[in-house]
Formats: sequence, structure tokens, C-alpha cells
Amino acid sequence: MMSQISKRLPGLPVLLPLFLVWAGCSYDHGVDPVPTRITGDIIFSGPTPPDHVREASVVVVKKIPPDNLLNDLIISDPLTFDPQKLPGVDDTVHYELVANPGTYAAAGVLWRKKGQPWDIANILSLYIDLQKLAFIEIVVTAEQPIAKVDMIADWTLARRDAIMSGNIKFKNGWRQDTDFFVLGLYSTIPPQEKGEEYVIPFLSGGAAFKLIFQSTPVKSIPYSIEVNSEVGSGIDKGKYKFITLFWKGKNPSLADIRPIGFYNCQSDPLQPRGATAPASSIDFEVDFLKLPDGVKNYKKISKDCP
Amino acid sequence: MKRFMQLFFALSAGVLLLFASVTMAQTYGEIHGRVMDAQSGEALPGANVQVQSTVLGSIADLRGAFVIKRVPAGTFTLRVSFVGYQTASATVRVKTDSVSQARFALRATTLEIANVVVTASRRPEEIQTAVVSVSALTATEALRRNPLRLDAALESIPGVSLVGENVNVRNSTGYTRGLGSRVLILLDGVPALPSDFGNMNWDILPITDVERVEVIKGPASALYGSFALGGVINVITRPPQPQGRFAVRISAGIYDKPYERDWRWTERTLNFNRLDLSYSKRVGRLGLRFSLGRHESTGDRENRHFKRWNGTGKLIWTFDNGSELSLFGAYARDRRGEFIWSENGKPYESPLAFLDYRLALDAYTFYGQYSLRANAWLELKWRASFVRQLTGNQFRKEGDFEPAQGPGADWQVQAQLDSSMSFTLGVEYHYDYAEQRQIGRHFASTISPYLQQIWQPHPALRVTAGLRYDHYYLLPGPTIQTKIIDSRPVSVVNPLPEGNEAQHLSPQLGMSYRPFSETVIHAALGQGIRIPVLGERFLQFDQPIPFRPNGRIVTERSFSFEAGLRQRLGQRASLEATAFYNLYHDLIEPVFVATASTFYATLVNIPGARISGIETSGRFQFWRNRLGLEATATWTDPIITKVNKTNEAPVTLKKGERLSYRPRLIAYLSPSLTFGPISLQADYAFASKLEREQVQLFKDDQRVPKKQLDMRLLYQWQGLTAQLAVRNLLNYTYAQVERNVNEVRNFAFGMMWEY
Repeated sequence: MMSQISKRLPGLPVLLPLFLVWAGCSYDHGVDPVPTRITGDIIFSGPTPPDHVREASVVVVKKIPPDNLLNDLIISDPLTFDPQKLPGVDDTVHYELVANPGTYAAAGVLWRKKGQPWDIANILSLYIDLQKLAFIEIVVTAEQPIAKVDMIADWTLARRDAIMSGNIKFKNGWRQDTDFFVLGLYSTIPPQEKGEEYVIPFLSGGAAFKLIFQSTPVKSIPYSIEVNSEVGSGIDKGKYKFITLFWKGKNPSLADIRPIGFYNCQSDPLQPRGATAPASSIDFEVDFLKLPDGVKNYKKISKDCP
Repeated sequence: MKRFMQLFFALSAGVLLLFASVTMAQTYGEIHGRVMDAQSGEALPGANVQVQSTVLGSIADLRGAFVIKRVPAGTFTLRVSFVGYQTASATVRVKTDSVSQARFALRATTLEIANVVVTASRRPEEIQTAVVSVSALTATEALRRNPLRLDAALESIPGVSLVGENVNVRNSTGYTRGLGSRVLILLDGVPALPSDFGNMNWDILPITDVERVEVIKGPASALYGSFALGGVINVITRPPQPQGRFAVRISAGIYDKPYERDWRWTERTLNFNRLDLSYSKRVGRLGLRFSLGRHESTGDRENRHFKRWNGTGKLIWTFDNGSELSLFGAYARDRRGEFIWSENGKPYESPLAFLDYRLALDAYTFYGQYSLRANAWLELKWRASFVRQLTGNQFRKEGDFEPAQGPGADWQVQAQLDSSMSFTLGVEYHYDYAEQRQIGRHFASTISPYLQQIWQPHPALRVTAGLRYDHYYLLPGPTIQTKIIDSRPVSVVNPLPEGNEAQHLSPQLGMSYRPFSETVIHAALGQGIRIPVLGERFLQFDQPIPFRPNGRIVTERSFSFEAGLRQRLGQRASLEATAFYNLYHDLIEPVFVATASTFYATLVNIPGARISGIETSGRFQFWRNRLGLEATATWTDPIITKVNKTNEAPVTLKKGERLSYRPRLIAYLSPSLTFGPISLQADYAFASKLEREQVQLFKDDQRVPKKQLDMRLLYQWQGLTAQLAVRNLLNYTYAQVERNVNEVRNFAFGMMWEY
């Protein structure tokens, strides 16, 4: 049969490979370049970057909280900020992230301490709508491949020169649906009218927070958190007036985060008690029975304990 | 267990005594002969001569001559086989104290197929009548593709595919990220997988040392135990050549630029080269073979450069009584950059965080084997082996090398009871030791008696039955171990401080029926096991992705069934088709666990999975053997059939989902055109696109099917073969493992000279 074919098409066995080479000129080349980008400028403001900062990067997440850190998180290459930036002089750095087409729930700038892994608590900036106090969604598509996201990053938020530590006791058993806790230290007492009032101070450097992962029952846990000793002013410089523990359940919604206890005066449990950094033995008790609403009606004026 | 072992050894001793008594009563003669090419009359040194229904045989020497001694008086059938030639048989009558003559003139076959395999039943048999699916890749077939490493040549074997560096047989392994394998790799029948991670170091074998590669597809645990759950790949090295042989193989090439201009990451010319030297000679009773190789590459992307060296040596001494002692040693040294995965949108660039990752490996393999032909029907073999791998400099840490080593031993009896029945009886022992920064210090041992019987009640019918018992013992270890991580001592919890002991039975049944001379129907079913290696039980590390051990991981088990047809169409074509069905219990697969606090990888047992499918292949020669075509296609349906709802880790697997990293369709097409000394060849490899659920990382990245076209032009003149090759001719880019695209188009020139 082949001899008959070759008689009719004598060049076939030679032409076939040539055809394949020619076909390659218009052949599908497989994976396409990713056309979509998130790009913009980061303006570093505030003081000179602290010496303990190793790097800072733009971080973009697909959903909050992310399911899978490799699928849902994009981190830029280290931003080339000026480590010798003068206080009050802005340092602008351009960045560009390759991002697959889709919608991204949040973006921000994180910094990383030397010798430490990345920590979600080390925020320099968040891409949020300050009026609504909500993250701004970022959308990139084939039709609109470039999303411009500019942020201002204040080095004040990276200052960490003191340690506050203590012990937190858990009262009234344990919630089985506990996912994690957030320890929050505020230089002013949040007015407790809207949930976002607990968040805003983090963005202005007036608060510090730390995630504490403890999903199995314990009676108490020790804590230690690095804070900024220059927070506040005057006689209250370095003083954290409201030290609280937030609880987060396994429900993915962040709106479920609630404070379940705070450092208070023993003689007046509704009076938040302050502490000036650095400080140790800042011990307090938290109560799961405060859920689902969280602690309420604490006093809004900071006073020394009687 | 103790009573079982006592019974086993008593049985073995009884068998030996029985055969010894038979031996004493025998009278013997000899068979002398020659094997030649029917057309040219030239001798065929290396031709294999077997006396049917016995364990006797010989290899033709430089002049094509062979001698078989201590042949009992009687009438026997001699079978002669040689790659590239039709098998021939002749009847010989042997008289006491006399020499019988036999001459064979073999006709060349157009289909270059290895006619005799040894792996399917641990003894030589015709590939056509093997009861399990078995394929063989000859050295010529492997070398003509000019692969830089042996595993790259395996993809042309029906049912075999590569995902990353994992060799898959019928999609059995998927991608294990360097941890474990469901394909047992043997080197001359000796287990070659290291004790820590169970992943093969292919650099230990220069391709010029390989005579052929035999692949068993389907249930093989009854003979080979753990790892053989999905199949067995036996790399058989060349014996020393009677005529002496010196070979040099050189290959050098350059990488092209990526198709997309944005992907070009350097202006340097990226290149690779390889040099292999080998020498073998048989002088009287002593056969020697040595080889050295060096392989170097800049890599086609950031941090994928490497420098590799390897060396092998083989000695064979034949005693007066026909027994034979073989000693083999191999060493491989690898120093390389470790490309983890690429930046999104920059497939040839590494993220900055991984740019300084390095890996250093030193691997050794030794074995010694002594085989004694007690008489015409009884052969005994003893084997001792040692595999050692040292891993160092992993993930940018400078420092000491950490060993994993596994001595082993095998004692085997092969007996031919009569012309229709034979059996193989043996005991295998293996010891695993690993002391790795990421694993800790652990010891395990396995002792495995096994038995296989082959019965041929009719010339057209073969039936095999096999059984293997594996007793595994993991020694208890400390509850806490102190390891140095990032230059700091870190206490690591041993998830299995109390040790582990397990016993497994693996039975197998198979048959092949030859209703016509060129048609064979075969079927086999069996159970298999895979015991987790030390790395799977204890591995812990923090970068690039944290990995946590699962102390509750258990042995995998499988039930496999296959049925197939082999059809020869004269000397110009052969066809095969096999349907297979594999059920897995407690399949070990890596998963990624994300919680609010952390993200890590671990291994879990999937309670139920199934891989079923059809494998087809064909070989054809047309146009007076000028036009050749090989084609294979394997379709599989890899499904999760049961999940563990009480698994502590968040469920990332669902019933009905496809298993990870297993493309449903794999195909391979290889046409060739030959005019005299010039040959134009092509290979086209295809694998269907992975579904989103089948990848574990970067799920939103674009996925495409694998399509790779390689072409080469060869010129052969006497002992010299020169080759120009283009790999990935169409510069097609795909990724079977996330953010690890295939090699960019590259051009190579190769030359092999044999003298």
C-alpha cells in the first residue's frame, strides 16, 4: 500500500516534515503571556525607615481571608525605597504586579522585620475607601488589563522600639469554634460606636495589633507584642490606654470579630486601664460569655485606676 | 511470623535436597554452536541462547560461538534471540559425554523489538507471551533520541509518561514533588530507589551503559513488593562485550530564546553539553565494563544550571562450573541550582526569594550477585546491594551532607520442574536508614519471602500464580529530635515515636493464551502495596512551603486487573491493546492545607481512588522498511472514589474529582524515514490539559495541553552516528507542574562512535 501511495505522491515522506515546520509558523505556541497588571506608585512618607526593616512589598489578595496563600495572594518584589529617606521628605517607588484576570479583594503594603517571616500585623498602608472604611476592589480583565493602585505608606507604622507583655486568662470555658484572636493596643479608647473605629487607629499609627493563633482550649496564654513607644504625646507619650483581645470564630466573615475582654481596673471593671511602653505583667481576663456581642459599655475616658 | 519463616526455610531446604538427589543421578553432555546473520554470514556476538525447559543458557562470543556445559542427556529445544533478529529454535539431542552441535542463521527483522524479557517473571521469557503488560526499550531506540538523561527516553514507551521528574506508568504516580514513587526502579533487577525520599536519581546511569529498559505495567507487587504498585522499570546494563568495545558519545547544544519577547530574561547564550566514555571487554572468564560521564548545562532559565558527573563499573567472572559472579558500582555527583517555580507571567525567571537555592547530591549504588546453576533445572542466586545518597546544601544552607542508605539482599531459587512447570522462590531483605535535617534519624527494615509458579499446560497457554509476604518494621525513635534549622537548634516532634509494624500479602494471577502464532491474549489480576518511605513519614521543613508530617499515614493498597491483546502482522507491524482497572485504597497524595494561621503541605491517605483506562500501541514498517511509525495512546480516568470526612485537615479533596497531575490522554507518535545511512525522525508527544481541580497551586494560571515535537537527522557510517536534533521544534510552552514550563526550543549536535 505504501509503495502505491509513494508512486502517486513520491514526495510525501519528504514533504511531511517540511509541512510540519511550515505549520509551526502559525502554530499555537501554548501558554500566552499574562496581559493583566496591577501597577502604581507607593509614596513612602513619615520618618526615616527604621533600621529593623528588611523589606517592604505590595500585597494583593483575591479574597479575605485568603483560602490558599499561593493561589490567593500576590506579593511584589521588594520595593526599592530609600533607607536613608529624610523625615518629611516623600520617597516615591513605582511597582508592577502581574495578576491573572479577575477581581482582587484587597491590597496593601506590608513591611518585614530582619530575621523574621512576613507578619500580617506589619502594615504600612491599606488600599481602602476612607469614607466607607472598606477595602477597594481591584478588577483586571482582558478589556481593562491595567489597574492603577497608588498608596501612601507611612514609616511611622513600622516603628517598634518597646515590648508589652503579660498573660491573658480565659473565663467560662472555651468556644469550640475559635479560630484565632487579635490582641489590640490603642493609644486612645475606641468610642465603640462603629466596628471600623477599632481599625482606623492601626492605619494612623495609634495602635498595634498581633494575631494569636490558639484554636485548642487553654486556660491562659502569655503574650508579647512589639509596639511604638512614641505613640501619643505629652504625658501620655508611649501610653496605650485600651488593651483588648478580639475573638474570631471559624465563620469566614471578618464582621464576626468581637472584643471579649480588656485590661481594666480591678476596682472598676468597666474602666480600661492603660500601660506605658515598655511594660510587662499586663495581665487581664477575657470572658467567652461576652459573645456574640462582645464587651460593651466600657468607659470612654481614660483614667488612672482608683 | 516466626513459624512462617521456619516453614519457608524448611521448604526451601527440601527443594534443594530433592534437586541435589536428582542431580547426582544425571549424566551430561555439551552443546556447542554458532549464531550468524543469515544474509551476511557474519557472527552475532552477544546472541542469547536458552535451552528450553531448563535454566541453562549461554551468550555467543566474538566469533558467534557458544558452549553450554552439563546438559543432561536427552532431547531439548534451543532458542536463540538477538535484538533486531527473528527468534530461532532448533531441536538438539544430547548424549552422555559427547558434544552436540547446533548452528543458527538468524534473519533480520524490520521491527526492532526486544524478544526476550526477564522482569515480568524474574526469568527469561518471550515478551509476546508474558502474562502482564510489558514493554521493552532497546539501547538503539533510547540512544537515537539523544536524550541527555535516561528518563527522557522512557516517554516513548506505551503507558509511560513523565510529570516533572516523576515517572508514571498508566498515571499511577502523578506528581509527588520528589516524595515516593509508585513505580519501582530496578538496576539489573536490584532495587535502586534511595531510602529517604524514594525518588530515582537518573544521573547515576549513563545511557551508553544501558542494554535495554523493561517496563512492567500493572500488578507486580507479588514479585517485587512495595513501590511496584503501579509498575516496574528495570534498567538492564550491557554485559561486557566479547569483542571489546570502546564508545564515545558527545552532545552539545544551545537553547533558543523564548517565543515571547517579554519572557526573555538574559542575553547570554544558554547551552549544554555531555560527554560519555565507556569501555568493555571480555577476556577469558573475566568481563569488564567501565564508563565515565560528564553533563553540564547553564539551564534555559534562572537557577536551573547544573554540573553532573557519573561513573560505573561492572565485573563478571564466570567459574568452571558455570556459575557467575557479578559486581557493579555506580557513582553520580550533582551540583545544581534548584528552580522551584517561576514568577507569574515570567516563566523563565525565579522569584528573588528562591534565586539562591542550591542542591548537592552524591549517590552510590553497589551490588554483587552470584548465580549458580546447580543442574539443568535449578539455579540459585544470591544478591547483596547497597544504595546510598547524600543530600547537602539544600535550600541555600551550606553544610554537611546527610545520608540515606539502604543495604539489601535477595536469595532466590529458580527451578524448572518439568517442561511445563517452573517456579521462582526467594526471600528479599531491605534495610532503610536516613539521617536528614528535614527527616531526622530513622531506621526501617522489610523482609519479604515470595513465590511464583509458571505452568504451561498447553503450548499455547501459560498460567502464573504468585504470592509475596512483606513484613515491615519501623524502629521506634525519640519523641523529640533536635535539628539545626537556619543555624538554630530546633526541637521537632517525631510523629511516630513508637515505631510501626505491618504485614502485607500480595497475590497475583495471570494467563496468556496464543490461539494463533501471531496473536496472544493476556490477562492478570493482583493486589499490590506501597509502604510509605521514611521521607513520607517524617519530612518537615519550612521553605519554600512549610511541610508537616502526618504520623497517621498508612500503607497504600491496590487491586489491579488488566486484559489485553498482542497481534503481530508479519514482520512489518505489531499492535497491542490493553484495558486496565486499578482500585486504590489509602492512596498517599500531597495536599495543601490553609488555615487562618498557616499554610502548609502534608500527605494524606485518600481512602478510595480508581484509575482505569485503555492503552494502545502499534509499530509499523512501510516502503521497504524506509518508513517507520510508532504510535501509542493511553486514556485513563483517574478518579477519587472516597474521601475521609473526619480528616482533621480542612477537606481539599472531593469524591468524584480527578486525581492530581494525571492527564487523561497521553499519546506519542514517532515517524521515521530512512534512506541508506541517513535517517529523518520525529517524536510528537501529547498530554491532555489538566483540569483546575487537578493542580494544587496557582489554580488560576492558564493551562494548556502538552504538545511537543522533536526532530532529528541522523547519519550512520560504520561505527559512527552523527545527529542533528531540535527539541520542541515549534517552541510550544506548557506546564504540567505549576509554573514549571517545559524547556524552550533547543538545538543539539551529537556524535557517538563505537569501536
